[in-house]
Amino acid sequence: MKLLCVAGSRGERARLAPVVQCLEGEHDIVCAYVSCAGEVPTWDLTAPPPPDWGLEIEDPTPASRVGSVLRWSESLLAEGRFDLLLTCGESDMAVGAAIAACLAEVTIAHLDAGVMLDPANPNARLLDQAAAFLLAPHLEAVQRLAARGMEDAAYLCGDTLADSPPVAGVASGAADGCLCYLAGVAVGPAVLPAVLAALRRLPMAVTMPAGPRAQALLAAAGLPRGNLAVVEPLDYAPLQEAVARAALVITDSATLQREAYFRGTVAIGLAPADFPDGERTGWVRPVAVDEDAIIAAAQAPPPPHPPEIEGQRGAALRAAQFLTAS
Amino acid sequence: MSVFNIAVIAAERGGFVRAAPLLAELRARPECNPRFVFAGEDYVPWAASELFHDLGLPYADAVIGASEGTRAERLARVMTGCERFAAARDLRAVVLVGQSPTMLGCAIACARSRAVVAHADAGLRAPGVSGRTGLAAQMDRACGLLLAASEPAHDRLLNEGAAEETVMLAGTLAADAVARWLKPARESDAPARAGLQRKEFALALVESPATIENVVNLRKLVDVLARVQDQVPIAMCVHRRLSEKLKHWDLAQSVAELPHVREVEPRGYVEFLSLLDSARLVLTDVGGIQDEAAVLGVPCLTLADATDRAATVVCGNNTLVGLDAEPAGQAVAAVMENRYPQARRPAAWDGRAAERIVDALLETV
Repeated sequence: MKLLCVAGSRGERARLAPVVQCLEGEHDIVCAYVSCAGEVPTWDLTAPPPPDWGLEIEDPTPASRVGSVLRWSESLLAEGRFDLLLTCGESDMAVGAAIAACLAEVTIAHLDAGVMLDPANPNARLLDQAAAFLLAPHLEAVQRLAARGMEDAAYLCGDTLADSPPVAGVASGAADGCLCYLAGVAVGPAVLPAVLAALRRLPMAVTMPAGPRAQALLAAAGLPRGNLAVVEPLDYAPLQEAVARAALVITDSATLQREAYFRGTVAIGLAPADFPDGERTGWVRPVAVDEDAIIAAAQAPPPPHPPEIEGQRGAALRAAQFLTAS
Repeated sequence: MSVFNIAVIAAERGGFVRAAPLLAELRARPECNPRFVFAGEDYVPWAASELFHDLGLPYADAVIGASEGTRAERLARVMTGCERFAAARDLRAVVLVGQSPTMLGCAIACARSRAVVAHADAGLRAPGVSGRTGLAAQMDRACGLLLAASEPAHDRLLNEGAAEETVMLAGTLAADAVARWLKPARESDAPARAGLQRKEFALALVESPATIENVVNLRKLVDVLARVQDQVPIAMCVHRRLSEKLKHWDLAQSVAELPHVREVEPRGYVEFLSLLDSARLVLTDVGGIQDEAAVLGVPCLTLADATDRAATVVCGNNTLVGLDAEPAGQAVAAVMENRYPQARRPAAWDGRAAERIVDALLETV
């Protein structure tokens, strides 16, 4: 099988990587990663190796981003005679690749199918609809797909983020400080003051990795100040280390909330993550973007049980086996 | 009173026919400021065409279609053009008429604007052709208001899990177009000018790439024509693409030698509707024509194994005969011997679809 993997956001790359690793050797795989200008490319996923193709786009609007990746994917698909496009998540980049695959009549598999972060964003529904194979991370996602009449194509493989490479050198009990990463999903200039006010009230140091745009926003809000420090964006491995070391993660990134769970760190979610396991066990605490709500979530008692992590590349292996068998 | 900018986007002939009554209804409502967006290729010839003249289509407020580049390049240009137009004109609603990759691009481009994105042909699926993963289903997923043209389309959308409050049985705009232009069509009497007797000929119109682009299927089409013309004279609409392909595969002569097949070239919608209304039966693979035939009660034989216009089959007006001379001949015999079943008009095909669509849009915006 010849397979084209297209990933846009950092989270998509992190979720696809373990599956690609399981498929490697048996199949001919081409990885193509897209990053937006201003975003720090995080292509050091340790495994698999760096992408075969990389595209940096500067398009400021959703349609232009979809269009850029559509044109680029069309040329990749035309060169390669691919059997399958493997895509993930709900970014504009994934949609662009999926439309190109539809036009080229290449079968699509969608990892993280059935996940619904933002009902107003049609990308997730569209990608599920376009895909012949739907790899779902949890039972709720499968049920959502079944309600849309897609149960025959859905397969519960589990969350492949659980299969990310382990973080080396983090001693047990080393938890220290808060890591706050604002991806801009839910935290814009209007609600940033409420978040910063809550962070200032935390009895611990807060580290905030930020790209150029976020740095400018934080500088305008008077940072760094007191317990709040702004640092350069972290690449994949250092970010995972920081998540594992932190006592608390506060973020509007759905992926980082899930990563915190798999690294054994409590996460306060400022935007939906659609992560039932994390929420049920108390490791992921969704809150409104409100100062008191954030503080209340931070002060809540620790979860009574450790995170339920299958590991052993279980989800990625199931996804790879399903695709191979299909 | 607030006035809402509402865009109607169409990209091909059938879409223009269905868009026209909707634009007329929008123009008649003081709270609507309609915008016509042309998403097809080569606007100027279309704008100058008899079709646009007959349909009373206004000058396009935006031309976002692209005629050069690869399919992806053209689609990318449509998407960015559509997104820019939606933002610049502060659109409150967008109605997509038709289903194609271009329309899917428009749906995606508008989906995150503040405009309500409505699909006027929602729920149409051809078994085995478009399927669950097809463009039509994707398009419906990207739209917030699903205007089903028929009961089967409406039920299918609900079965696919679309939220009930987003689905509405609007009826087909093709019925509105027929109702609006039937009187001038009957007055024009195009068949007489073409030397045809009312209800004594079959009208044939074939456009599907699956038929035209495939030499085996095109040969089968010629066999069907040969069989049917022995039973009833055929007026065959020959368009440029069909003509080119017949010549390319040395089939033009075979068609020319059929004594009871006459080529016709209806220029506008009124002339075409006049021919369709006067025909004893129609042979086609075009979805819009299947709808129009059902509205007029003209028996339709679809030259394909599947159709996305299930309502026309359910109502008894449309029979799938494939590209096979034998079943086509049998169905034609049934029509000529008055044995073809009496069809009933599908629900909501009353020529008031545009009215219902505009009401729904104004409730939503």
